[in-house]
Amino acid sequence: MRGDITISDVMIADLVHRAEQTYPYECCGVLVSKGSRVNRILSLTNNSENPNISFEADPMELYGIEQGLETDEDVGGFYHSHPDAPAELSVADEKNMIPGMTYLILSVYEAKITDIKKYRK
Amino acid sequence: MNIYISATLRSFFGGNDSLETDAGNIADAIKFLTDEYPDSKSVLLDDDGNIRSFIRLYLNDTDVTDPKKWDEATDDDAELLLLPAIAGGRPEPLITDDRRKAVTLDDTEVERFGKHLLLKEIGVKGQKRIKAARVVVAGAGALGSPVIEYLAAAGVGTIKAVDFDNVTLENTQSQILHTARDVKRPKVASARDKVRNINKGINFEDENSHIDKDNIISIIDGYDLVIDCTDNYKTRYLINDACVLCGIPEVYGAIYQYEGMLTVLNYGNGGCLRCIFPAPPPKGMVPTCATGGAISPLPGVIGSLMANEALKLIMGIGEHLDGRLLSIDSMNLRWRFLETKKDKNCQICSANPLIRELTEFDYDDFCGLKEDESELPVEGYEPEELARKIESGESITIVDVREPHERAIQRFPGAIVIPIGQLARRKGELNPEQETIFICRQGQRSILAINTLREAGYMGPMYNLKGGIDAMKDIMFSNEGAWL
Repeated sequence: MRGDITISDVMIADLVHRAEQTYPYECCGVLVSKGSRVNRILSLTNNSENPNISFEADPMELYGIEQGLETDEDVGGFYHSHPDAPAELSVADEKNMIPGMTYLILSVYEAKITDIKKYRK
Repeated sequence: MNIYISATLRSFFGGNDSLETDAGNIADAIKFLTDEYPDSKSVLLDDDGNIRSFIRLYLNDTDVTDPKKWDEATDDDAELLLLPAIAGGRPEPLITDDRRKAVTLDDTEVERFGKHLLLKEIGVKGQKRIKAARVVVAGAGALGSPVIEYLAAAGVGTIKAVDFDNVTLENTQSQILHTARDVKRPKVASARDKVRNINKGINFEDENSHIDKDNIISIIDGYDLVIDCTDNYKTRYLINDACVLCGIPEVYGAIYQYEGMLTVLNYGNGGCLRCIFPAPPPKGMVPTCATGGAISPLPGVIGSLMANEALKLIMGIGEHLDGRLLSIDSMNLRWRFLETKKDKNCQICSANPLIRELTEFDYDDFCGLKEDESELPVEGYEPEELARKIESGESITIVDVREPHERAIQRFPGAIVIPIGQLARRKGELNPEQETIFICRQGQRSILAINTLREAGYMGPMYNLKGGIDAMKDIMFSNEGAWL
């Protein structure tokens, strides 16, 4: 199983910006890692029919991203936002967690970040 | 066939990004993967051999995750993609967006709930959810008091209070809904008065009845949340089971002396009451709050936290107590979280429950409320009979089995004192030639005392004082004025 990854303040600020811009909808994306650090953040398209309460990305979009990774890059995990809800795992979130991956959840109320939490299974 | 392994799953397949197999269909390809990399089996398949919810399979860009497609023959040059599902979403508040949008706040409500509207996580949206909520509070006693008052103060639109009991003076020590003026009135009546005084706009429903298996479903069906503030195991299991059957989450709380606990049941990652406590403790082992006592503000602490959990569930904000039990020791100021787990074999909330209808289950038997026919009946005297024996000077032994601090409230003249834990050891102090009468506060522990001595082989005649010392309070003896 993959080890935990760390993320810089600059990238956190980037994530916060994405989550606030997408409000009142959920944003989602990939944390591309290099070693044990997040190297890049890539957005995924939210195809959910109810994007204000859920997200759903096309696994083929991830496949495309994986094809474009540098040789020393890897997929370290995923992020998504919870508009008007806490940064807690929902039942659907937990169901789709892959062991070893790192998950970041950003809680956004009224277009402002209130909390960010990290989960691993 | 070539199998592409997503970067997210590679660590379970030796770090490989693709694997070659001569498998002729997807089922064989999966078998190849789990045979070659045994560690991957638990990642790809669940305990029943079904593909995990987060795995997606694509064959030449077509989704073939459905096992029905697994037996179709594949070309030799086909590429099978093993990818993860990327989906999820925010936890749903109990009150959905549609119901929130159907509610409006008037000017008075904006003023009244101004302190809520200032909070980012609550705001107008949260307050509307609170107003749209329909909550059942079972029990309008010690825990029910703060729960009902805070739900009313917070603006919960519909509150249903269920309690069969009338107010006694003793209740006013901790049940802050009721005042000395309410004595002998139904508890739900003083609850109604209090709620009306807080906010006339709240739709308050009272149900002045005993909860049983014939009425519990109709009491809670159609409501968003049930808050269990009752004080006995039978009702607690009944409420739990009904909530599971109706799919309603529950906030559960209990208090005893200086300690309390609360948790959220039948919601999120948590199980139900039976998952945490598969059965109640044996009969007579644990006194209720009514017989064991509780310090006055304790139900205020636990009940206020229960109301707080209820509001957070209604609005879908903050962390919840599903999967955790919060235990609070007010005497030593200890606050602990205990992790709880959903029981895969739970009698009611598992995938294959034993209980599908409440009528199928014998709650009296489960909670030890049935007379045990194999046990010899314990003979007892009415308070008047015992009083006559004492008056006539008959040679009898009276044994007080209460604890020392209880005897300090009221002594029983002429009784010898043996706490229940010492009875078997001290049976030699009793005279088997004469009648021995056992007394306690309410006549329950004295039965336990008699059964304990029987087990210890004591053969003398033993009697129980029915109703205990409480029942003798009003009897006057000729040699002393009144008892109290």
